[in-house]
Amino acid sequence: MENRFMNEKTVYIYIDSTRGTINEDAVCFVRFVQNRIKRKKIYGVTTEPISQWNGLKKDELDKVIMPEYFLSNTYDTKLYAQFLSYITMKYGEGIFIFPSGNIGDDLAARLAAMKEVIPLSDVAHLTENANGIYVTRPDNHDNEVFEYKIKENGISVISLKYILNEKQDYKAKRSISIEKINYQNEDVKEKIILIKKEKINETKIREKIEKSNRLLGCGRGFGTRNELKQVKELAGKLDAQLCVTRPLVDMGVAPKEIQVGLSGKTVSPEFYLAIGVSGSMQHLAGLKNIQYILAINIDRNAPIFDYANFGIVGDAHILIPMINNILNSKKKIEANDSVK
Amino acid sequence: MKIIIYLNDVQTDLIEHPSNTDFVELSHENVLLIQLIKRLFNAEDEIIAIYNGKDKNLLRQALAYGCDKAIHINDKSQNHLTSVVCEIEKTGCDYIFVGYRTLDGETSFIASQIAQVLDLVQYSFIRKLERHEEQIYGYRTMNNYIDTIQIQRRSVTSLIFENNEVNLLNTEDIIESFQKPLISVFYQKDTQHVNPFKESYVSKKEVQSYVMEDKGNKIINCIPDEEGNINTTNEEAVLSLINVCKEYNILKK
Repeated sequence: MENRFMNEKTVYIYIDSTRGTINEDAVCFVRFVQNRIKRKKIYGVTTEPISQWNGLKKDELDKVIMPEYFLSNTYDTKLYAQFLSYITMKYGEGIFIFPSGNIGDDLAARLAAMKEVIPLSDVAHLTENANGIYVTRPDNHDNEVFEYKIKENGISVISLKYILNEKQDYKAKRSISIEKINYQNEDVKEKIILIKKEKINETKIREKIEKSNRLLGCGRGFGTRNELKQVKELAGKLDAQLCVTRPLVDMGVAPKEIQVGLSGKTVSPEFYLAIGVSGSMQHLAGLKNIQYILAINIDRNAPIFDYANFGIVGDAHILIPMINNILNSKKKIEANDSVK
Repeated sequence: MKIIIYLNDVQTDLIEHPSNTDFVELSHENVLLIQLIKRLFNAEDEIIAIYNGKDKNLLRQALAYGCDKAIHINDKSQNHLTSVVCEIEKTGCDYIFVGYRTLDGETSFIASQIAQVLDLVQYSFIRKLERHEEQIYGYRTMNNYIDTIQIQRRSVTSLIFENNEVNLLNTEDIIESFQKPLISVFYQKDTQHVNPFKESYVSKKEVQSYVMEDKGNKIINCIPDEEGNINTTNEEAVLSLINVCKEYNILKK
């Protein structure tokens, strides 16, 4: 066992931040990884000097490595990846874990290319046992899931899908030390030129679907603009949020921010109503620990029915307007209750 | 000026198109990208589409939407990045544009990988591009801030589009696309190529156990099955659904 600890590599967790403040999601991500990995050396890495820790406690990591000064006044993939690469040279090679999603994937790809390794993207499961760290990753095109063991030599780059509202039960106690690096890379001659930076009006910020406890999911069986309007109306009545599968995003009907699945967000709501969602593995990979799944689909063989608590084999084009009408009219519901 | 657009396909069974022969389609995002680049640059600038997927005809669509030239990479070497970078270097370029979401997995990594191999500046998550005189500006939203960035030459830009309507093709565009060059290049199978995950591979897992528990609960039919059986009417199905929502405290009882 001792030998294993001698050989085991450092785990670097990328901590996303904005203007010196750790993002709320990044704190969840650190704890998500912490719950799965019990290594001796777990380091947090940021690409900005941190002044606001936003709930990240002092005993959650062994070390937090950050630059002493802001590397750039805007997100610069090349510059940030070079900083991360520099860290691996200074603190030793290890396993870099990035949150799957915008910045995480972008940086993971550039760092991996810099280190000439292939990144393991969209990892869905991460576990550690006595033999090492194992990850499971769905194949993008086929309904297959593969398990890999992370090598203990060289650098490994992983982008991990995580759940924002997972119950955090952190137990291990570590003593954090903060390392500030005076990093000045003169190799980067062409930096991004920022012309203007302005804060978005608070009211325009879209509420994140990852934090919602109730979701209504639309697939290509019910995914035109008009149909989505009907589902939005229903979502309003159920106090839920709308999410979609990838084909709707590809077709430009819905924005990427509300896409759930392998290449989209990972969500863990209590209630999920799937409308016209077939339940392909790529979509289900984005759904975790859901208490109640309801499904409406015209295809009785759709895999979503295997996972649903309650399903209707029916035409959503008829059923959804009908539900909206019934919910619009309280009298009808009361009448139904009295009949029951 | 040479502008390269790296294209990806998306699988489809919904959209019918004369060139859709292999259930793949130029993604909506890529169409928007081509149309945006066409508007942004002058007529004398050359817009080149590069694609290394299976359906060459997809590039005909790209030409119809406004690209001036198309390169189809038939890559059997499995080193997709190398072949793409090789073609970009051969062609030469001032700007490279990549759609961000297009396909799952590594393909969303392609912008980072191209930028790294060619040692270029990379502009990620750009949502809008504008041109003022000779300079191009990109806008992106990150962590509740909108950044306005100057897009320099010799750079890779990955774009995310908000929903927009695509201008559909007309017959003239389609006919014109057949007069534009569509070049195919071939990369032979690389016998030296080693699957980078081969050593790490452990096992193949059962999909169902991986995804989530099979809840196997009540399913009702309100459309007739092959034998004409039907469980319930649409009205009853809807009322059952509402009752289930009440049971789960989603709706007030």
